[in-house]
Amino acid sequence: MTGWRRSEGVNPQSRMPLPEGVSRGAQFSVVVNDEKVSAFEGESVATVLMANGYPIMRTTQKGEPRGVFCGMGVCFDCLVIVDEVPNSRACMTWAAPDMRIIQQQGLTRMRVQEDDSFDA
Amino acid sequence: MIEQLLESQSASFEFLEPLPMEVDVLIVGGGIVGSSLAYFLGQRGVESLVLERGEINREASGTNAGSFHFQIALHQLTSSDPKDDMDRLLTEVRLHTEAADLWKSLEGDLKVDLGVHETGGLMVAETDEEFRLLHSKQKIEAAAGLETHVLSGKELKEFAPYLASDIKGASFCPREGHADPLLAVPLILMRAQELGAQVRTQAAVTSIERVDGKDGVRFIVQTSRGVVQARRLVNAAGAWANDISMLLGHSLPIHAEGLHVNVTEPREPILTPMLQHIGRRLTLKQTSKGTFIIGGGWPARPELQPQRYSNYWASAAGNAAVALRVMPMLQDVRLVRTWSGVMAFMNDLSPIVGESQSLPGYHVCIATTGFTLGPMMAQLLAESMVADKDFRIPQSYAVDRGLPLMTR
Repeated sequence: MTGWRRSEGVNPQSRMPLPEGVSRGAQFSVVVNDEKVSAFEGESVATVLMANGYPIMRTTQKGEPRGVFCGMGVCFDCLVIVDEVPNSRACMTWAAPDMRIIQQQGLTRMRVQEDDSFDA
Repeated sequence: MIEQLLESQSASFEFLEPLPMEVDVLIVGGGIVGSSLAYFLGQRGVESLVLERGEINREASGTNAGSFHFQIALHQLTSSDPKDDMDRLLTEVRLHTEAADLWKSLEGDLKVDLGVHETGGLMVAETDEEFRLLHSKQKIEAAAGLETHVLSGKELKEFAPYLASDIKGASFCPREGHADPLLAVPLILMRAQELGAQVRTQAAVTSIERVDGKDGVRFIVQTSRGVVQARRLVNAAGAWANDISMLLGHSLPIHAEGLHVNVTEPREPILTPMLQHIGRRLTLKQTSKGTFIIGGGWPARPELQPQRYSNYWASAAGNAAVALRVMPMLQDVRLVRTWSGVMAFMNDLSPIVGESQSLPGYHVCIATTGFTLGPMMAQLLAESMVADKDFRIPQSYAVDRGLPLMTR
């Protein structure tokens, strides 16, 4: 699907120039699918994805692309898998060192535990 | 189908027109019972007017989880041995199979998509005692002609691998399933209107006068939007039916209970049948959108007037805990919303359907588990009102049974 991976023609390190007197947080790396990309403290997962050329964050059940729409946690369009937690809102999740982000395709699977007995 | 519904919604301007002067049958309540009754009466050439205090389908009919309950359920058992309730249960299960037939044919008859899916339903047992209960209720279901199978061990594990491994057993009813509670009532009512039924919303009934004149009985009904007269009156006001009945000085053995439903985020399809529990409050099913609907009658705060009901967070947590107990793989699936609705609860567990003997012309139609049985009960009443079939309403559903013996 077009644009599912890194968008063509997007500078992978595109971020807004900083005004004078403002500095970015500490730099660290996160993993998007299998690619190691850079992130800065204080950025959301959505910011990291867009700045690294991943405007599309998931596909719907019908395979249609979705990304940041409202940017404020309401629309649930920017869902990604963050450290194995599916349906995480990229716009509402802080990026953290060594975080593992996976673009979500359609409905996410259920985690089946080895021992499924439940201690209530 | 949505286009059709939107088109019919344009007819809702008609809902706000002045009330007609008089009508043959006046139905109080625009939920699943009132709407179905208007349809079944229309089919038989009887004119009716549906009066709704608020908006169509806004209370129990539109806020329940849409499940079809045909197996004998926890709330129907008044003792731990189903044999004690044998006659009542046999009658009820026979009607359940008729309700199953009706839901199956309703979409075809109406030529609309009501979101009916016959997915089958599994009722689980956690303890040995509950497992024995499954076996004894299965015998009654078989006697009443409802197909159910009790599964356990390897057979159950293969049939339902998503269940917790220590579940003792489950009974499977192939006919259970669900319909869409947001679609059913508006579409049934749309067809009723095509058959000549009239509908008026925002019309709360404030007083009812029953006049027994020389040319028969008349009801003079005052509403917040004016007065209307009717030859026959049907109380289909569900949880608030006693308030309407008391306007005639007639009491019904009924009270309102608030109850609570949860929905999760969508996940891959994994659960086909509806899950229930023989000993604890649970209904659990996965929709075609992938979300899980978790309900089963956990309490919410009942409200006197139609408005949105408050949730008890303890109910949300308790309901989710039972769902997790039965299906542990839900443990990383998040709840995204909970809501509450109301339910009409009969003190003696039997529906109230038919004409009053003490007040001829006054009819009541209230189903237990109203979404499953509502259309079926409305059909029974419509049949009896035009007397085109033998009177089939069980004696235990009698309208006057809540009255002191003196006044019956």
